[in-house]
Amino acid sequence: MATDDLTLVQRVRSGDQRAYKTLVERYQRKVFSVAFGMLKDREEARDVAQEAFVKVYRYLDHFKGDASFYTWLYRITVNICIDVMRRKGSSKSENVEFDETLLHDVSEANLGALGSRLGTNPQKSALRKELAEKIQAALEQVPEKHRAILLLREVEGMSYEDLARTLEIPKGTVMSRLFHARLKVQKVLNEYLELDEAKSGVGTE
Amino acid sequence: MSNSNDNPARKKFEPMLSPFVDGELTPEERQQVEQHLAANKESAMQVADFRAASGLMRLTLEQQADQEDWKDFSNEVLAKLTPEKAPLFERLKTSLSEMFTYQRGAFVGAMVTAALMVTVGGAAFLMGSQKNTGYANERMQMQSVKVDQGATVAPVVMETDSGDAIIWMVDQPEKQKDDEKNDKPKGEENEELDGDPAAPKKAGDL
Repeated sequence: MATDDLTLVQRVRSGDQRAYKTLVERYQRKVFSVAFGMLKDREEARDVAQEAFVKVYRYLDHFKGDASFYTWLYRITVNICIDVMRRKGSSKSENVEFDETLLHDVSEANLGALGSRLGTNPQKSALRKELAEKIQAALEQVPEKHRAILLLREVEGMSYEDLARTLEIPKGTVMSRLFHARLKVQKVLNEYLELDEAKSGVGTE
Repeated sequence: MSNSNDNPARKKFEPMLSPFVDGELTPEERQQVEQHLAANKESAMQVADFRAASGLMRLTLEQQADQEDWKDFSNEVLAKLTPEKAPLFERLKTSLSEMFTYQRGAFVGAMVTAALMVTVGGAAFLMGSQKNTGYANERMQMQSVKVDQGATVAPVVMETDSGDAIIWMVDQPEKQKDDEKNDKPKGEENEELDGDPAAPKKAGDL
């Protein structure tokens, strides 16, 4: 049975570096995935992931243990990503929390196309590869704070409670930001599918 | 396809579709949404879209992570935590070399200053360790006060509060006369001061 995070953290505090290696290996892929989803650059994402682990280690004494280790780790990761984006000037710090026109846009878009063409198993879909590329484009259009929530939910499968704790926002805000982030992604992907259908004359699979 | 604003039920349930997909609704809310989905095709399609996009996103990000080489990642992180240290002598040599290369003026100045300080300090130490004797000494220590035979003066020694000694000579005319009368000298008058620690101290001893 795998040792839980808190036990490993305590071992690290008592000077056991192998315990930290275990923690790094446990979360490295997911931390990278979140960073990659945020930054869309493989090298930057890897650097951010390393920086996050180094930062977490250096501030391990500040970890109170009242929250999960991974919520703390992801909070640091997201903050580093936002810093990187701001340095690059690629951050969109929208003043509007929610784009209310999305509700209208999605309703008028090719609603259901994504679900019907991909089915419940996206691995078997012929569109998978193409749409995987479009996912990044779709994510780019999502405001950074909404994107962080969506990625943490999809990559780590965090509960709304954990998302609220990680990003230090109310649970209601998590719910609405996640909903709007999904609408945005859905809109972009549906538009692509609509375009694709128009080009090839293919209907739903 | 109609706008959600056209359908009050859809408008009401739409914000619950995302938490429905995530399993974040209470059992009662979940039941209500399921009933709504059964009756509203658009909402059902939206749920299908959310699920498909969610699966696609997860898969895409997992594939991105798969393409990375994770073999050395954790070691790279650990290396950043504890950079390997060269032996002390090597580090000292490197530091001095870097200082000499990049800050030559300051380095030479510092070395000259250090050399001067060592020279001056050493000289002061050596001078301080040598004790002057005789009149060059700051404080002479009186061992004894002797009076020659036939002297017509006698020493009077007084000690001050600071521990210094004041010695002055007092004429002894009677003694002079006695000496003249007696052929035989009465002997030598000798007051030992600080000579014999065991001897009882008299007035005037230091």
